[in-house]
Amino acid sequence: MADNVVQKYSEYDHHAPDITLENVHRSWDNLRAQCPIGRSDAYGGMWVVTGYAEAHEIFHDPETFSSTPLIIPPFPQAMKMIPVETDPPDHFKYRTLVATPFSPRHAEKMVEPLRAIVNKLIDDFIETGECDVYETVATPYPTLMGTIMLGLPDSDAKLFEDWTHKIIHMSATDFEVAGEAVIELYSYFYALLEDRRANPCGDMMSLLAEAELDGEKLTDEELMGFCLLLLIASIDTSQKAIGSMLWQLGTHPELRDRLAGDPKLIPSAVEEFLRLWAPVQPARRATKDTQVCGVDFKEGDQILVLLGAANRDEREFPGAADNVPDRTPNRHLTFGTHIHRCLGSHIARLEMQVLLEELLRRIPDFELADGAEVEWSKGQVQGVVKVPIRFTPGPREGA
Amino acid sequence: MGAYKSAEDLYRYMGQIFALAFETPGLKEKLNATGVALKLNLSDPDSVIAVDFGQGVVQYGGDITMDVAVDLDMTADTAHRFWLGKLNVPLAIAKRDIKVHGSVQKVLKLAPLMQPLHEKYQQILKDAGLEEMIG
Repeated sequence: MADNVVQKYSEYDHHAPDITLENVHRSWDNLRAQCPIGRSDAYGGMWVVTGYAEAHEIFHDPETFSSTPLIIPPFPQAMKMIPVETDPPDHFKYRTLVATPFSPRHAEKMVEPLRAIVNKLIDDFIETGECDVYETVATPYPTLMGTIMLGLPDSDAKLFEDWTHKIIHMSATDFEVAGEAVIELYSYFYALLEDRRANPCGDMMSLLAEAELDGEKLTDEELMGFCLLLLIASIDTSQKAIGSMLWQLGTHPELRDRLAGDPKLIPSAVEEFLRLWAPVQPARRATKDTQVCGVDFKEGDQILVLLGAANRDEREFPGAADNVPDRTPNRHLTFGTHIHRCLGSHIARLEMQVLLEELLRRIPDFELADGAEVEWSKGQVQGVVKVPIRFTPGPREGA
Repeated sequence: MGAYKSAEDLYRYMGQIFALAFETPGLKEKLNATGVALKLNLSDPDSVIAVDFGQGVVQYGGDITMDVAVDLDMTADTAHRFWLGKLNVPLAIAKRDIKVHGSVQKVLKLAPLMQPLHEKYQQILKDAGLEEMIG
């Protein structure tokens, strides 16, 4: 295995310790060149999808390809994550319950709160001339955003980050530690929902506490299923997407300067960062014997859909490895598609746009620090998780 | 009134499941490997079961002499639902239906190992003519 580039599908394991930023995309390109779908021996056997058309076809048939379980190996979660791990027809009912707060109209209201968070975070390091921007921005920014969206105290942000990290990144290696984090998370939200039942205040938790399906309040299992997903999905995925975006900007000064000089490009540039750095690599399960693009799936087969690989498929994206900030069309699959399209996609886009606007305004010359060691997060939420940068120090703007 | 009317009944039927666990090839070794010793402090009816999974030893009520690393407080009904396979353990801990004194991680390690015993517990109750307890 030269440079630890995976040569055969049978060897592929998304949790393999030797996956790095240097080899992850070369492995995916290598596998896709052989075949867009292949069979891995990992985790009792799983199909691995690297092609765009194949991923698209699987996502557009949720009856045949269930999203339960979404994770390989599964989190120690005890309950399905709702709505993403539910199938039709229940899925629609669950999703509708929480759709409004995630709508584009509601997301727009978050622009100024987002800008305030970003500028406060930049204030905290702008006078230093150097920092790990993953630690100072990419980590806290989505967490603080999540606390606003979900109506949680920002003083508990570190707790949320700790649980999220353990659940997403330690389930495959230390099931008990991840399980304990799940229980702590459930305990926290169970108590919070009890409080919201007694004292509703119009936030997301109050909405869930009061929600009814077919005339019945949600069960404890359903409520915990919602809470687990809402918390971890709002934090970890955005952290990884932002970390990767900042690494690419820090290593591509011409791209950074182009966006700094033409902020109108930022919305389409964000789509291109999202395409190139899809953090989530979700799983599906075949509910019956079926065939996709000549591959036979048996009922019960688990399938890992590498969206990061599908988004770099030359058949759909000419010059797929290049960052083309005004790429059109750009039908990437980063947020999924069809019924399981990410509820938080509008917020996530805005998060990244506002971050770029402010970062490029205040530290337009940031670049990766000399000799910086970059880290890649493996598993089903992938991305760059260490981005040491240097820049010309500037003034704080806040009090 | 809970499913069990007396501690004696509880020891008789729930006790059998531990004996079965340590007699089941494959499972016995997995349980021994955990090395966990824990105590179930049950209420309604008040009863105590201590299990050393490492040594394969079970003690009841006033006869308990072993030291344990983990204490679990719950009602006898909660324990009964667990053995029937009808209890979501992480949720029960979160709701404080099970209070854990000691390592939650050890409990999480043990709980999934018990899965093959749920059917056997139901069989024990059926054999004793207690189908109504299965629900």
